[in-house]
Amino acid sequence: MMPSVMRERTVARFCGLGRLTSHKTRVPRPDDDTRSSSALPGSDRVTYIREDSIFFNHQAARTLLNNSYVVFSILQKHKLAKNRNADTNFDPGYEIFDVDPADLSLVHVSRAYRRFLRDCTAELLKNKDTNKMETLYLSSIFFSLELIFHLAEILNLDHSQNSHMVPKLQEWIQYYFNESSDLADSVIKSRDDKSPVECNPDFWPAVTGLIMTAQCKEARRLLGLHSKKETPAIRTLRQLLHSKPELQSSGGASVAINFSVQWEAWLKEVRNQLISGVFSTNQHCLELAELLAGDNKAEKLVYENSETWYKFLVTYVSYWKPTVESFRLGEIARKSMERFGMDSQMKAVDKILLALFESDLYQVIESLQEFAESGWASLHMTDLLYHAGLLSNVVGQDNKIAENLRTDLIIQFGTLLAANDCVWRTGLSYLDFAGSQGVGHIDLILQSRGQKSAKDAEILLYEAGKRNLVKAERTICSVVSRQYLMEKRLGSALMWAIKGDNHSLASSVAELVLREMAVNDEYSISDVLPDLGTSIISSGHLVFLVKYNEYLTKYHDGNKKEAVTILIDLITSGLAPPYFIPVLLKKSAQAAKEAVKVFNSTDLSNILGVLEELVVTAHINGTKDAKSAVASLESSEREIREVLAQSICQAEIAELAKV
Amino acid sequence: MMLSEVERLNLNNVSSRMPQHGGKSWKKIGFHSGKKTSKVRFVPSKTKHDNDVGVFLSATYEEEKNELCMWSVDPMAQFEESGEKLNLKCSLNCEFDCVDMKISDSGRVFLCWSDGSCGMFTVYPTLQPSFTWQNLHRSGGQLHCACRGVDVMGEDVVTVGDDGKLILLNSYNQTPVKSIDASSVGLTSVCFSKHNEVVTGNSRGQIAFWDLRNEGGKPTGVLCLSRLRGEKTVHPTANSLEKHPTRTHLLLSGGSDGCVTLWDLRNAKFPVEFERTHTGPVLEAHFHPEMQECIVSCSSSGDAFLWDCSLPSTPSTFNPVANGMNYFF
Repeated sequence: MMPSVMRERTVARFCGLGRLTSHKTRVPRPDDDTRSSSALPGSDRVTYIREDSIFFNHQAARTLLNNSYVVFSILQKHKLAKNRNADTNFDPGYEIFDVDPADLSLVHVSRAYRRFLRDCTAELLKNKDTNKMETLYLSSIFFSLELIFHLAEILNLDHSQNSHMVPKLQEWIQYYFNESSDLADSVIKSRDDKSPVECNPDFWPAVTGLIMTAQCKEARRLLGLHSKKETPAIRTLRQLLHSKPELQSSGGASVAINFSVQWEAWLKEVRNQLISGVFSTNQHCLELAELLAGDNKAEKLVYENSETWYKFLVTYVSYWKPTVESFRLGEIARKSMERFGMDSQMKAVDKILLALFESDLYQVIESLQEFAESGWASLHMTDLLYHAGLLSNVVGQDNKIAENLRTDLIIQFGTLLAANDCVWRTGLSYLDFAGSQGVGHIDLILQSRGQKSAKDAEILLYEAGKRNLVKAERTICSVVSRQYLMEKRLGSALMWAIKGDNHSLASSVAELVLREMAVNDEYSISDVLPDLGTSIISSGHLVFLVKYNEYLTKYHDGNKKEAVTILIDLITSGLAPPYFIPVLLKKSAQAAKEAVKVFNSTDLSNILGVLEELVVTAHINGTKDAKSAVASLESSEREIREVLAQSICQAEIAELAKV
Repeated sequence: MMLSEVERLNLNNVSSRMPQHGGKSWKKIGFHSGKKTSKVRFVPSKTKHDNDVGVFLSATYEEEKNELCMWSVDPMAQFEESGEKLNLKCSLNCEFDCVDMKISDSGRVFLCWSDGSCGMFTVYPTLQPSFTWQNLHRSGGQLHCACRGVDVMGEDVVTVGDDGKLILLNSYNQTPVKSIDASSVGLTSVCFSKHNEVVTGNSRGQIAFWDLRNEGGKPTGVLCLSRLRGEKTVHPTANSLEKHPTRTHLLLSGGSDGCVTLWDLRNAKFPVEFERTHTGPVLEAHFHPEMQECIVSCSSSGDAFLWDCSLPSTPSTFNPVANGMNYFF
């Protein structure tokens, strides 16, 4: 069997915005000597490929997209970065849409994004009828994004000279990893009179977890349920937990100093109690007391009870470095990761969190782009950091790099959305914030999108009109007009040509109408022609058509004198196209028969003159139009001449009689 | 307090707003449906069951799976601040985009589709399809011909479409009763004026009156929305038409230039134009079913206005008393 000289190849090319088409084809092998360079057709199937995104068809994600866009636009329009006096304790939630923007700042925007992410996750988990693996995967991504945004907010946005890191980090961990609280609740619920609560195997892990996440009040309460709570070990531990000083998250240097003093005193107390041996009767209490004392022996306990390195980090700073400054967190984060052996097995979330702790913001953005869906997260994060002025400082150069990065991300995300039929208008709205590049993209998108119906075209026109994209408006209108022209819907074609200021197209349509009338003596678009106003100025044919329509209307309504004046103007002005002159002549003859009194002899002579001219020109050197016009007059030329001649006589007699 | 009927288009939010006492502010009890909604209509109170408050329908467009959904408002929502207060009762999948929707007093829903057909549904006991008149409006070429407007009076239904045809249907008859070539450009809106009289709006800004008993294809009267703006004549599309429920000489129109116009048909040369126009095309303008002097309008730019015509003002202009700003796309 001869080996095939053709090999099969898949070919793909761009087709429209964000789409590829792909099909198989066969091409000759490179070593083929037959020099046949054209590819033979392969399969007759063409596949359309486009990028998919959760934002296109998951209801929860669509809600996230829309809500986050609104907040994004509020941020851009009202320059919230400058509102430094806004109340940072306010968690706006969905009220952010209704609150006065003067009361909002970047922190509120970040909280709003987090709220939307949270609701998106909750919604995804609620609708379990979709593909379960996919839903779980997506909800874990959104959960991680919320975690990341929250940490970014703590470290970069909700961060003034007066604020302290540790309490916020504690809140952060408590919010997302509240297994200890749940465990404590289940221990409390499962209490019964038969056995003491501390026999529950979860009791001490719950207490440990609560203390590690700095929920000391709850830990103390749980310890209070211990059957031997009056023993010195437990009583002392409870008392230490009660007297542990808490650092407020805001308050400035004086608060920090006060706290340091109290903390040192309390630490001393803890260490004294440890030395005194009061905890020796209870191993658990001893370990927990070592943790409270910031003793290195407790580090192993913390490690064993931390599921993740960042939980370890928060416990570490809570008890070893409660007044740590934010710039030291990077170092501590690295050490925590090494402790957990994460260097070699860093997941995307770990990379991002580490970069946040190290304040490597460009790394955060890069990692977000790789990790998360469609560029939503990297765009909104970049935008927040950009408005906080944090991106330019990092590079040490002017703001251009940060600005360009933000613009690029907006364009990337906007064009992804604009390629989809459901969310394309959201894409355009994002591109509005990408400066002149965004405008350019929008212009192209609107012109190339295509419309399936007049309503689609109206929407495209509205979007173009909103942005003063005159060229796009004209293109859209012209395309629709030509589509109607192909369908022979002349009224709509004319209307769209006028809308798009396409004078030549309007003129062409008007000419078609006139030709139709020349043949059929009636036309379909009479309802469109009145009240065109200034739209007709652009085209001689259109002016002529409107005037002719006016003549017909007036004549029909009985206003013969005015109608005839218009008719005479039409005939003698020279505007009439040659193929239409026969119609005008027939009308004049008809009008002269019915109402000769409204004519004067000069006008009638002029009309006859036009007929003469037409005939002569056609015979000598006439165009095709002129010749066919004369041909169509053939049967009625004689009659018209007779009527006109008679009318001229009658008119002259009437004029002489007046004199 | 009765919920006012607000129809909002091009939305991803399905929400209803209640004017508070005096109509000075809106209270939002909204919820995000996650799909682009083209029409929202309240189901008339006579046809509801007693325990349902504020039942309404929503229809989507430009979605991969379009839907017609029925929602009810949680009665306790009036007293709470925010949160999810709308319950989805049922939904039906639709193949095409919904362009217009009307509900008759007898509980039948009529939907216009973007493929030129009109579908009839019943609301109770559950939302279910009844019959679809296929291919009412057809095109001869590449552009689809959508059915753009529908209105119902009793058993009679009238539809208009991009092909410029006005078609009369009967709820019990599967064949159209009558078809009129009403316009050489597309018709965009329609409403019943009297039992045999219909008002249509076209994409050239002409509002025409038709007597359905006439055989000829000529309207009995024409109004014009075109106006001179600066040096150029603008021909706005008549997107919305409605007759006043009791004062039949009043006609309300909403145009694509953002103007809401009130016509007194006894003196149609001087219509009343509402002063503070929308910045985008007016998609719907309606007379308030309960408050006789009030008009509600909404537009593509995302605003909804409540106009109170009973307040003293200059003779030909009114200002909105409440302004619900919202963000839709």
